[in-house]
Amino acid sequence: MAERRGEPGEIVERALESLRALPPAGTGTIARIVASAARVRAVDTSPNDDDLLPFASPRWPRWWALASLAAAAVIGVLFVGVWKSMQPRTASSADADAASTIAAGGARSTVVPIMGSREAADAAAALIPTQFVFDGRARRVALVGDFNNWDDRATPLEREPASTLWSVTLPIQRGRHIYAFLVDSTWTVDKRAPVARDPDFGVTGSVIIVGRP
Amino acid sequence: MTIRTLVFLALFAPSGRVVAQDTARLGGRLDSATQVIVMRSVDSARTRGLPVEPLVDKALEGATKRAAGPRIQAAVSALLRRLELARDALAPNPGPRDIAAGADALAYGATREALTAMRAIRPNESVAVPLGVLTQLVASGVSVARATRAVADLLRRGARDEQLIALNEDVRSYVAAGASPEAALDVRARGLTAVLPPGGGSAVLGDAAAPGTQSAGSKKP
Repeated sequence: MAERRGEPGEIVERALESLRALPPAGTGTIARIVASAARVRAVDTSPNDDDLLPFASPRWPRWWALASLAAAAVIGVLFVGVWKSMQPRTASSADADAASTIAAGGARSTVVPIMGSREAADAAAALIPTQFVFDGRARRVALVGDFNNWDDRATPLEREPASTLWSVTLPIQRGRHIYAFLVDSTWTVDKRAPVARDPDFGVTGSVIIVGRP
Repeated sequence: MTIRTLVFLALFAPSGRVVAQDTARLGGRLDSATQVIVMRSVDSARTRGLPVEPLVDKALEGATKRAAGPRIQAAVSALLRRLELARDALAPNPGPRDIAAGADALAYGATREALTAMRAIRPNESVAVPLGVLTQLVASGVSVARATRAVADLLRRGARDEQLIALNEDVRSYVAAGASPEAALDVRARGLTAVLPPGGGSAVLGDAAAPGTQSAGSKKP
């Protein structure tokens, strides 16, 4: 125990002196002694490493216990979520998996909600391929909506060869969505879809309700 | 790095990462003052257990529509209040899509009681589509009370999401052809009721609603 309280360098030095005093020894014996000294040093120096983190100090045992409990709780919640997500789903959500909506315009979010894993699994299962079609002459047509961060670079439409029809298909969550086309950077509603009034910003968009096979 | 350090990072790094994701989604599309206020609303929503995606979407919608910063801030704040109302009305365990759909319906004049009624009829399934149809029927010109009663009755009879969506599309086409919104809803709801199993609900749409008759113009149940 006295050795364990000494400085690491001092301990090694003492070990070397002991070795010199001994009759010549085999390499195996020397290796055992050096390894033993190294173990003692490791025990002595580990608290110094932990000084990097305040909670690792002996003054924080309760904090550390709480953190461990929190970690256990998080793991438990995740486990329950995964277990629930593996349970049989309802008929309507199963129908939705096989569904493919072809809509003349319209859309929704590919952003997976930051919630429980069951919600994430439901959201992923509820993505329905949805087609948007614009008919008109243009150099570039893009789709913006609450399913693509309203980003005019995210979802360009492709023109059918020798045609004025532009289209794009993307997976969208079930529910009601607002969107519009940007035709050569000009905000354009979908003529074939309902119009959504916009009390917030005063710029009408188009509406699609996704969820139909 | 010790095991304790790793556990510490595993516990507390995700919240920082989530905030960074929201900020990244905003992607510098808002002025700095608006971004600060929007992120404050996002943090508040997260603290209260509300979905944050609709708030970020609303801010981005405002940016795309080139709305002024104060208008974006007001829209996000109003949406935060609606999300909380919707969450409470759709208790006990609404999903984020249900809450967002509820907030949308509230914006169009649906009542808290209407949301609660939908949840009561569908306690274990998403009500995002029924609420979306309710919102769109109201937007088409059907009164809130009438639309709420129709959707609730059809749900009670077991109408599926796709049937409700078809009903909404038919109402829209009838209105575009000159019918009144409520008459169009009555006709299509009656047609849909005819193919649904008898449920515990009341007569679908008032005195005139008599299940079993389908208009000649009906394309599908």
